[in-house]
Amino acid sequence: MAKILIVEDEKALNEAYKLVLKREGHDIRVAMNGQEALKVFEDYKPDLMLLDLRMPKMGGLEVLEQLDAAKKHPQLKIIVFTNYDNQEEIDKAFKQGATSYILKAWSSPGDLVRVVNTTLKK
Amino acid sequence: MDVFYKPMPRHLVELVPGMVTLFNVKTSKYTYVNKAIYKVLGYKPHDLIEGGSEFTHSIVHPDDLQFVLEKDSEALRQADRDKIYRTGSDPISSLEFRMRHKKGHYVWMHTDCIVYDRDEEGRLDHVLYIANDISERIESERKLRQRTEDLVDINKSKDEFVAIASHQLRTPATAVKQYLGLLLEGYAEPLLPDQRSFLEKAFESNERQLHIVDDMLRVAQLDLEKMNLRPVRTDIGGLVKDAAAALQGRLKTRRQTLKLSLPKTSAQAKVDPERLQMVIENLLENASNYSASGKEIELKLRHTAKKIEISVCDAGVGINRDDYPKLFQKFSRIANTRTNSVSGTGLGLYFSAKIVELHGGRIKVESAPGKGSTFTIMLPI
Repeated sequence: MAKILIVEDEKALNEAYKLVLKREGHDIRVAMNGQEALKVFEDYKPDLMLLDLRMPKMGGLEVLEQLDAAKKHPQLKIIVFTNYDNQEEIDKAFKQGATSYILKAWSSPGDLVRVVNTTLKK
Repeated sequence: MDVFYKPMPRHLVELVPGMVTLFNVKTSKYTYVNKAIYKVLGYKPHDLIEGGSEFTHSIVHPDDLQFVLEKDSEALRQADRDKIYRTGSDPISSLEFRMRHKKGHYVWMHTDCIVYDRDEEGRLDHVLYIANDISERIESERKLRQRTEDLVDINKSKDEFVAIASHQLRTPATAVKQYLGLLLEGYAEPLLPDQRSFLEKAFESNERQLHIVDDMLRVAQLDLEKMNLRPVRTDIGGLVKDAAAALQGRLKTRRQTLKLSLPKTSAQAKVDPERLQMVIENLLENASNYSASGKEIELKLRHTAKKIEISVCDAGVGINRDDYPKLFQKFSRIANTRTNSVSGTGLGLYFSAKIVELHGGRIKVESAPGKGSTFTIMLPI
């Protein structure tokens, strides 16, 4: 069992992700934007963070920057949610500590579970 | 030296619609002005003859005056120094500038200066200024420029609209995909056969919808010039194989076979591998769509020291020559009764051609209606 923080502004999506990851036996918290994510992060201390790059209020890249994830949280696994069309953002996210990415529109819940479990094993 | 002098046929000069003035370079006075000045600038010929160049300079638009004085005196100086006989058809200067009409408004003039005669030493004596009102032309040019700018703006806001709309559409379509996925992947109760088959149909439509959204976004980005290539040194043979592999499933369902021809030596080039692969996949997808089931499609890579050619050859319906220009236009689908069932956004080839162009190459089309088509990506190395 791992502690997973889902940061995704679209309710229908984060609920679906929450459902499948709970089934896998993980402990889940959800944040609807970057600001919320930073607050939850402090006391939840997740093992893995699923992070949408484009969100209102605060996007994923800024979350990684604020956390200084690459330096201060080397143990944290980070998977970013994105779309094919923002390769530059993916590159930036990887520089700031992300380890994998998921193309939201082209992944099913099963795909998500597989990526999460593989990332946790790394 | 011959002295050029020929009396002007004044009765004819009076008839021309443009202003004609004969100007004495040495005294800076006009010795003759035709009647057209009334019509063009509202003054009488006498006003110029009396006032000389001082008068004409006083009615040149202040913003144009410096430029006119510089260009005019430079041309006169040059012609004076040249001492070369020049014919009337060869102006020593041609200027466009504004002059104030007697009523106060400005008129755009095109003025040619022509050597009229020289003195015994060959020095410049008289020049002719022939001036025409070009306000209408300037105005229509201005309107055209404005219209072009407006159209560019409208087009840009349309591209932005498409980009935003596609983003907005993608989110709910992605959510639909997740929930269909939950049902199909067994996160709910086990499915009855009919339920599964209905959901699979919904899933397929959802995939298509997402494809269209992605295509629209790609094109909007291209049009907004937001797409930058990310070129890296790439083994093109490997790329071609990857594209072929990606299309295997689709070809299999259509019972089509793919013949892959690769050169013995490896072809390396600096390309954006992800985007170039999309282009090859797009050409393969088209080849499959426009070929009957059971047909063969050939994917061939050839290269020399200077160029790379990747061609996709099908034995499909082919394309009429008249339709070639339409192929690479946005949203263009060639009408063809046999292929009415083909689905797509009509953006694939537009996108492909743009990507290849960004690589400095182009896509060549060869086709025979009823026999098949070959699309070749030609890339410089």
